Amino acid sequence: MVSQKMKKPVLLNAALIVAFLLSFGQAFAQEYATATVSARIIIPLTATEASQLNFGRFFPGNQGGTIVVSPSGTVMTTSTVVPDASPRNPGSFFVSGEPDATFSIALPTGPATLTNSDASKTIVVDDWVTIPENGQSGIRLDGGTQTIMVGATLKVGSLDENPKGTYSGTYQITFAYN
Amino acid sequence: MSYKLENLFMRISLKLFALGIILIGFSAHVNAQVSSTAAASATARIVKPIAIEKNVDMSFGNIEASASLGTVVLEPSSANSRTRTGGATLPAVTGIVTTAKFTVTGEALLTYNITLPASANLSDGTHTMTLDHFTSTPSSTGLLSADPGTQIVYVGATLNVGASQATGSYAGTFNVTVNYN
Repeated sequence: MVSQKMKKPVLLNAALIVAFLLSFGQAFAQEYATATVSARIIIPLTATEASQLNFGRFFPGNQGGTIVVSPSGTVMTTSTVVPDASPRNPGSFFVSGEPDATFSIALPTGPATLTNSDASKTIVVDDWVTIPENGQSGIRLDGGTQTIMVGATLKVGSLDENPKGTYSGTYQITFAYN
Repeated sequence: MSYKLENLFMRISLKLFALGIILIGFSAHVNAQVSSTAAASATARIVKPIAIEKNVDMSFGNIEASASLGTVVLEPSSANSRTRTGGATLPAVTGIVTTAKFTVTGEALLTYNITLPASANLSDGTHTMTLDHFTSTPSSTGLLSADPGTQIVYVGATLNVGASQATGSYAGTFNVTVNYN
């Protein structure tokens, strides 16, 4: 009778010890660490043509030649080409995107071809130049926008090769984030 | 005579009582010994506790969203490389791109489980993006090196970029749990 009474608390003690050791073991068996995760969604780069590259009206003369419209709007002619008083201007593009990000311009790698209204004659445009230029670190989107001016050289033939008419064509210019 | 007999009886009963106490004490002593010995063999105190520490946070860098859904996947390696799918594009101005890096320490040459979250949320305060398909190197089971017992764990994940996901800086947290096998 007495012996039973004594056994009970001893067993209880043992159970407590086991429970303690289990919780002790569990506390050290598992551990975690927290990491932060971050991402930045930037504004997509968009570009729209603000003005078309326009070489204006001119008379090619008997030898033809070139008309250069620089990105800053300066016009130069060579050979027998005679420009008239019509307006000429570089192309311009309005680029927008993430403020202070930089991007680069990919100009046409070769000439663009302009054709006259009945598609019988062509003139080529080449030697593409921009302001600003790509530079080493690209062009910065100050405040998220930038205007790109595009100039080029039109190579016209003689009056026989390029009779009077309106010549038009397209060129492709690509803007991409650096 | 009758007094002596009585005295003898008393002595005997006293002796019996004393014997009884000794026996009880002995029996209790034995019981306690057995119990504590059994419990001692189950303890984990002989093993160095496992611990995990974050060394580098996870960062996906700059992402360009579009009108269609996309993902950006960070590989669980030291290369800090990311790939894209769908409408998410990665500008060359990458921003900071890092795979999460952790150091696990514990008993040399023991293996352990790595538990990664099923998903986590990133928020810019208004908009959210979800992170899922967590991956790690080593994956699921790690092995602590010989003395000292350590291992580097790289954790990558897939960031789900919504259609026309709002621009901005997004942040969140996630836990990585390790325990001995």
